[in-house]
Amino acid sequence: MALLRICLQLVVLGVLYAGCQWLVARLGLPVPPGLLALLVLIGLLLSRVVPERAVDKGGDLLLKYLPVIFLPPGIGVIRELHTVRGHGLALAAVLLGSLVVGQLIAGLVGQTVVNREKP
Amino acid sequence: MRALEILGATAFTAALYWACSRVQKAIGLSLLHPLLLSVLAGGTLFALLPPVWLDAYVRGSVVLLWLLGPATAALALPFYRQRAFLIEHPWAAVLAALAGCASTVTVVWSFGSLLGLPPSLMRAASLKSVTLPVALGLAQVTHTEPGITTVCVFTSGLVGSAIGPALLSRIRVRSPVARGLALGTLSHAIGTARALEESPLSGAAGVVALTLSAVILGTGAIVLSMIFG
Repeated sequence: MALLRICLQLVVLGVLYAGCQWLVARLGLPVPPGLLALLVLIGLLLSRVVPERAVDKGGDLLLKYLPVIFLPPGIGVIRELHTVRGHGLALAAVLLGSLVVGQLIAGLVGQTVVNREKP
Repeated sequence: MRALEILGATAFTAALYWACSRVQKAIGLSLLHPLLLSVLAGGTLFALLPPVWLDAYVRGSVVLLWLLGPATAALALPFYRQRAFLIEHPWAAVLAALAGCASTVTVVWSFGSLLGLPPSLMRAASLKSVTLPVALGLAQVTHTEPGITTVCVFTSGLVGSAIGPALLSRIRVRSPVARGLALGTLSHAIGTARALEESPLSGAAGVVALTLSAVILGTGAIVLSMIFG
């Protein structure tokens, strides 16, 4: 019974995504269908049109095994290594520098706003 | 033939990830994330094999990749479960995520241009703070290499959660809310897991921030790609 519920919920999530894929293709939107499906599901959950228990088990299962789905694009990087050639160090420096600056600024802004919220 | 490729690629992916999870558990080093190990092992293997093998693997992984879509939609669940946090701290969450995204992208393009980085790499570096399923969707829309994007996103997650907490302590960001927001905005799911180790409140902040960061950076990337084609 639990297995059937998970399968049905996976179908619900799959249909939601397929619907977004269709809409994006139909209207020629420059939006990733997955991001659209995420926003639609947030809207459906918040407006209580779709209850959490209609998608919770299937969704949690997908999220649990999400890293496995990242393997093909991850391994595919060996086909793209030529684009990094000669820029490896610069890319690493840019990644590290922008990461540090972003984290510090997000933290400082968050802390400033939180302190102001306090009465 | 096609069915065989799909079956083979899916079985190989699952087996490789399973084996690497076992190795990581045996070694017990959290920096050796199973995904990192699997990409290194799989990448090395395919680099040694004739290129037709990798072509077959990529063709065979279409079904697995399609699942990325429903999985992205499922990210709505953790966000929905932490909606109380967003109601409690709406401005802190939105402004911290906005400031984090805007500043990190600004540094990527200014510092990157200075170092002569090609635009495709700067696009991948800009997507680094977006949770991977959304980043891969954005990579497709913005014509960015998916593999490089994966590596950038993963680096931001691992490095950010390793150095972030000490960095934030150094500039005296002590509020659990602000620490969680910073980790979630820049280091998405891996940063959020790290924030959760600090406190449940930081973890909740991380979940909300990673979702906001994906929406904010996603919107920005889409608008910019529409303007610049």
